[in-house]
Amino acid sequence: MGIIKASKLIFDYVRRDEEDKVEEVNRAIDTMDVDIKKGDFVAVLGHNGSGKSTFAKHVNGILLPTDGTVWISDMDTQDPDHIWDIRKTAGMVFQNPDNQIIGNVVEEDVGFGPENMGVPTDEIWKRVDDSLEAVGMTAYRMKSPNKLSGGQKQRVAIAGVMAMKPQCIILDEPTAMLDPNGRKEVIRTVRELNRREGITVLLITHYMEEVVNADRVIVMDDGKIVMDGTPREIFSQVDKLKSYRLDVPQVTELAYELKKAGVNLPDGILTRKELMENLLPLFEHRKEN
Amino acid sequence: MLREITLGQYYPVDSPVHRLDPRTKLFGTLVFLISLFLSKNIWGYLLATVVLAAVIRLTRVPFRFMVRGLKAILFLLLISVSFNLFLTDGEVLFQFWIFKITREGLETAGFMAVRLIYLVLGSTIMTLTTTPNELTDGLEKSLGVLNKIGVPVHEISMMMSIALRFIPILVEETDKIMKAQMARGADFESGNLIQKAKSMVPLLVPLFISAFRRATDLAMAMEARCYRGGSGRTKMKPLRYKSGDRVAYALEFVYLAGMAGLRYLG
Repeated sequence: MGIIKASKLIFDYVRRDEEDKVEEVNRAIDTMDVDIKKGDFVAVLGHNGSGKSTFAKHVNGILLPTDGTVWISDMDTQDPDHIWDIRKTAGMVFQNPDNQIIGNVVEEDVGFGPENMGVPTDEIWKRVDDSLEAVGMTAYRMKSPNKLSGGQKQRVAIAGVMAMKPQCIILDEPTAMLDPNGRKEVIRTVRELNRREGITVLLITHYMEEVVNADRVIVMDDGKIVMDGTPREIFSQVDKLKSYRLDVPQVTELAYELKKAGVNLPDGILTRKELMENLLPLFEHRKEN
Repeated sequence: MLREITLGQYYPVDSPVHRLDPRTKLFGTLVFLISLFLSKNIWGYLLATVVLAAVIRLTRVPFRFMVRGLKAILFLLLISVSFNLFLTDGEVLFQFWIFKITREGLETAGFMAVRLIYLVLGSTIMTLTTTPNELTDGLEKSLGVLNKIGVPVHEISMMMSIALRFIPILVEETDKIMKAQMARGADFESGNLIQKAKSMVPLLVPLFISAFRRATDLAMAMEARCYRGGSGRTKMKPLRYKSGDRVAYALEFVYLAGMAGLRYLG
């Protein structure tokens, strides 16, 4: 069993009127089964309202299933005795960098999680040092978060989660409010944490460029998992992706259009380098004739 | 105007004042404020000036940062000075039309202005040299006794520190909304007071909505990071008195005694 496992997960957003009568039920997640291996970098894709953020909030017990079960390293999220252990195991980074930084100084914010967990003071300092180093923000440790760029704030938020020594980090659209540079910065940081520290990453996003290096891509639509596989498997099905209102990375799209126009290319090209390697021989070939 | 307030804006340098325990600084600020109301003559103010200048020097914070906080009370300062200046009876020095300036008026107005300015400077030093978190930690610890009679001291200090963190964000947001409304023809400047107040409605509604949204997000983020109130929490920066604090306390008492003594001089 993997570190994150959901079985027949269902979640309804229920809107009630003043008399507490049910007015509207919105099924955000509809019988979802998923099993995520420890140490994997998993990306969850989906357009707005596909249930991907709702799923993310189930992984550390912020939302509890309407039906079905979610286990985080064998702990049921519905078990109130385990809720804090689950939040220690699965740290969460949210979309808006401003609304998740509590401290008025970078290092104090990073120490907030360990403080809540009752970690002894010396250990907190060690963890803060290590986490800031891991996200490359040591130089800013005495700065006010208000003076940082969006990407830097998000890296501080990641450090804040790292300081809790989680086995798994869930990032709920961490780059949605950032500019392209900030986006790259954050994704690079996350990828390094995954590779160097072996932390399981669950990245919720709708930017395709961010998922090409993932170990596994899950596509959600209307509360269900509709595609699941390696990035190459997923991105070779351009038409299917488009039917879920998702874009493929530009390079993949170009390769796909070229192929449709009769150029001999393999399916699911993900990077510019790959495309070049596949295109150049074709030119050479033409010259020879 | 809100941008000018330096209150709650920590200035990060390393100085002997920065390194003091927040409780020492809180007590020092209190002593300074009391001393201002103790002094009745020029000697008291002279001592206060010397001490204030020495402390400002020690903090290594540029003076203009301190003065910035004064802009916010400029209006208040003007009113209290002119009231004291024109409405105090006594030996007339200067007179035109219905205005007369008396010697006593000049004196009280002068002292009043100095007192107000020093009050703000004194508390600004405190907030410039202490991170809001240290400040709330200090308050939490100093007021810890109140916990026994059921006052949620930890929760209050957490709220304060969060409020301080979000003031600049909300100010920036106000600015943004204001510009967005102005771009669509909103007018915040002209008209009488009531019209002006009315024109603030399209500014306040979105601001409140966004503040509530932020609060929900923040609460979720805090819970995700295992926040569950004050019990069982450890501190990253626990408050411990050091040798510098003992010296500071001693100096604070000497200063208070000196001010009390000078009150009876001259």
